[in-house]
Amino acid sequence: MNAKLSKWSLLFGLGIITQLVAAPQSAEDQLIKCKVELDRGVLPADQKQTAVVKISLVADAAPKEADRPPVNLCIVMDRSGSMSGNKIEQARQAALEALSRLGSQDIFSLVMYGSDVTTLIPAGRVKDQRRAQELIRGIQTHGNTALFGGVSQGAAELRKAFGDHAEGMVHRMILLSDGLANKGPSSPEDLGRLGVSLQKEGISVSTIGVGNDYNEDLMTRLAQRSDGNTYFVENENDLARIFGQELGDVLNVVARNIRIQIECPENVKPLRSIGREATIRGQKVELNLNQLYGSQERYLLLEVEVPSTPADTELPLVSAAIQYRNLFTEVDEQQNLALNAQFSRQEAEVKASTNVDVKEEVLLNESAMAKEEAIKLAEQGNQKAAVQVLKKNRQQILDATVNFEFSAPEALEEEAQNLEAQSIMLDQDGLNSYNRKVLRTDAQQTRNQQLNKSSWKKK
Amino acid sequence: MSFSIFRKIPVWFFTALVILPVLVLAGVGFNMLRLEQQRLKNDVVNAQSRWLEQSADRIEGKLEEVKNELVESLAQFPSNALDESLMELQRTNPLVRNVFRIPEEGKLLFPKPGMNLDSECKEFLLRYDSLFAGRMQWFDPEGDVLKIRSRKSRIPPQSKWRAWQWADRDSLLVYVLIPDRREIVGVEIEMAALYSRLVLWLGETRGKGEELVLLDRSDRVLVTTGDSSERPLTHSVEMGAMLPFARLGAMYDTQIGEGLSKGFMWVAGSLGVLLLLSIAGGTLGLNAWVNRSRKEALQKTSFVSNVSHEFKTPLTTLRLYSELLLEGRVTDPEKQKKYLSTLRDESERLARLVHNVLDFSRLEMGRSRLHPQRLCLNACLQTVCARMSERFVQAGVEVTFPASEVFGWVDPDAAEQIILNLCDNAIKYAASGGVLRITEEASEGKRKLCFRDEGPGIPEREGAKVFQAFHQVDDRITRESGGTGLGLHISRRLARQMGGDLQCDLSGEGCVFIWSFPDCEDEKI
Repeated sequence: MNAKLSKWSLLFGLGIITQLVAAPQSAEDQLIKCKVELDRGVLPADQKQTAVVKISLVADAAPKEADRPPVNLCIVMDRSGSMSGNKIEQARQAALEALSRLGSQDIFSLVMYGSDVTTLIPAGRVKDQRRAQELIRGIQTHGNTALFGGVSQGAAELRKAFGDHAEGMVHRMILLSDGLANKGPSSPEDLGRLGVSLQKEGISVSTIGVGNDYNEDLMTRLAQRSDGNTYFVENENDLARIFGQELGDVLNVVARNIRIQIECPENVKPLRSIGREATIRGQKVELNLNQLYGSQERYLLLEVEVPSTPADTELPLVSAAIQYRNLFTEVDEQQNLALNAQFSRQEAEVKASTNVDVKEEVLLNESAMAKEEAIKLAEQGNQKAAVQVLKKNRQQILDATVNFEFSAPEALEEEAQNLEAQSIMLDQDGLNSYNRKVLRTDAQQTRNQQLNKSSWKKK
Repeated sequence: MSFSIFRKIPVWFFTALVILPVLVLAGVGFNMLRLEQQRLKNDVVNAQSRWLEQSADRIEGKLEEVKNELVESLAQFPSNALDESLMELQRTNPLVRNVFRIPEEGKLLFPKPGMNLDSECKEFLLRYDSLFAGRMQWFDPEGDVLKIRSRKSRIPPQSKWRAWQWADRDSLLVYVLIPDRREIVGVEIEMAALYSRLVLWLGETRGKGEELVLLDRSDRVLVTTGDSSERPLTHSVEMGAMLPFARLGAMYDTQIGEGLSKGFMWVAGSLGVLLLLSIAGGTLGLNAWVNRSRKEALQKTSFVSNVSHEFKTPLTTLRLYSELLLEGRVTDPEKQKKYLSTLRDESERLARLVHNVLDFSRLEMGRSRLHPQRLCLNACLQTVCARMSERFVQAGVEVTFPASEVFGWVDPDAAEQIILNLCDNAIKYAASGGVLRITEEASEGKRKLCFRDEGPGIPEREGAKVFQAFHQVDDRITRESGGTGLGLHISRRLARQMGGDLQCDLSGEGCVFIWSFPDCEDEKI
């Protein structure tokens, strides 16, 4: 550990712009590529300023010829009274759909929670699909919502598969709920903290909220903190599709236990992580992620304070060490990167050097944060201000699309449309349950860099 | 004598005699059942309390293990990389929320308050500000030394598991004193993760029908294995030093208690119903028995008085007429002849009475022996009616006989007795005259003789009773005409002994007695 850190510090001193160290293959062959970029190639000289550094991992599509890593899946299903009728039927179908996509190397378990918590199918290899299907079809609704107990039991089932081969396995819990947790710890903060602890064990919880009565803060927080996906399913008939999407992600994991460590020199101050919550201790920043999916990019946007620097000089900004376990080679890999900033007095040169990809990510994440700000304002009774925040953010995105040439402006244009639609909804209907869920889920999905976003726009 | 005692004592006395001891027994039984139920309930409650204390101990034990593991990790950190080791612990241990390092007396070394920190860390420093600022002691002056079973640590470190409350939320710190550096390294427990494990431990430790709940000082549910809204909290114990802000409560499946109560109620209810049924049945039975005894006593008394009277009347006549004749006061030969004929009639009457009483007594004692044979009943009818012709004439009753010959498989004496009784009955009760029609019928393999008179008939309610011994429809008539109330009873018994029956048809006018007897052909076969 310490040896790694000191080697990393040494690299930082070398001032190499982007360099791979300890990577087992050449850059072209690598399944996972790491990058560190600045929002502008050239920064304005002679002024104290902030800049955004993007540290990213990009995965190619999972190699088809290789066996995918085994999955340890636990479905935690709400079977409280409110789920009765079509909801529980659709949930059963969705669970069956998920089960059908697992192979013989995978581990499956199913926990139900109502007034109490019951393990319907204990963790084990899916040898007898028919028996498991029968059990799932027999699920009936009953009682209250012991969500905390359900998640705890689900985690206990997943832990059963922890052992020598746990490193190469994808541990995932899918939590389905349509109601408010009303037994045991039930605040978003509590569930968020539980998410943090589960993430340390390599367990991600993907949360699926059904209908308009569940607590989206709690569900999104749990998913975000445990590096899982979050979905808002207004119509229960979409459940099977969402489970399918989720399984698509779970079966497509290429790397696990991702650890991004960043260190800034004394004169560069890390300010905040945009979108995600990273640990900041002095000059060190750290972000841990549970997994990277095939064909996905995951990144950390770090805002740093850059000291006033004369033109035509290079300033070391960050050095980064990215560790992960490649599930296809089953080897822990590490890539070390460093970034130096260049400075110029030419305003045009600075503008021309804008990294539009980083700019785009920053805009999208700021948009997500604006949505959360809008929820907060609307809840305080300041609906007009909430609408204004959304509108202002929309305008910022539109201005950016005019001022910069983005490689793929569609995502931003779509986001501007989203913001417009959401601001109109908020203006007309106020912050009703549906609007709140749309805003919260959408924001979390962006911040979480979720591949499959829920299709709220269908409405 | 015994009958008169029954007559004097009211029925409710006998009822009370049955009810009172039964009620006393039922009361004693019920009370014993209640006490047993209470004892069982107390046993269950005591067992539950003991179990709950054991559960709390087990949870404390698990928490001790958590503490020991953490203390061991902290005590073994290399002193040249404490911060890195702490951060690694925070990154990898799900039960660790935040980490810190501080000199025994001095300011925080890690995380440094002036440092660039994320919001979670800033809140952490704020939460424990009074501790980190040195306003509170890290260790109690006495105690707090805990021997850790560490293979590597040279000196057992001083350690503490400390409960903390901030903004109405409880949390826990674990820290150790590194002796050679006089520094404290510690962690803040991730409470959500701890509670998540507590749910599982509580689930493992709970008994059957039991749900466990951990409550904080304000009775807020920290974790629960069951639904506290559905079940009442029956017991609770304070948790020990590992969770000093909490108490462990148990909610029991009320069905266990209810099961006992239900069982109790069921047994008590059944006993109650049985008791009521036995009282009602006993009372009814006793009542019926007393009534029957009374009635029999009355009938026998009436019989004795009737029979005495009946014997007395002819005897008086016999004595009076015989004295008159003996003393020679009656000289008129016509009168003498009349008196002698009266003497004969009365002695016949007396003989008839004696005969009836003897027959009854024989029947009652089961001594009657019958010898059925083929008999022409026409002859028998003629004989009996000829013998009674004078009485028929006196009563103004004309008799008609069956047109054809009637044969039956009967005992001649019994047949004569039955015919005599039926004719006698007709004379007594059809005193106003008319015709006694004796006809023959045959049906269902039996032959029947019907005796139909034109008298006032018998009231329907009396229909079934006329065959009872000592029963007389009208005591007045009986006294006038003389009778024992045994004739019909004897006749029916004789008829039945011969394989036939004697019945009474009250549907038409007058009174019809139907005597059925076996056909000769049947008996031969």
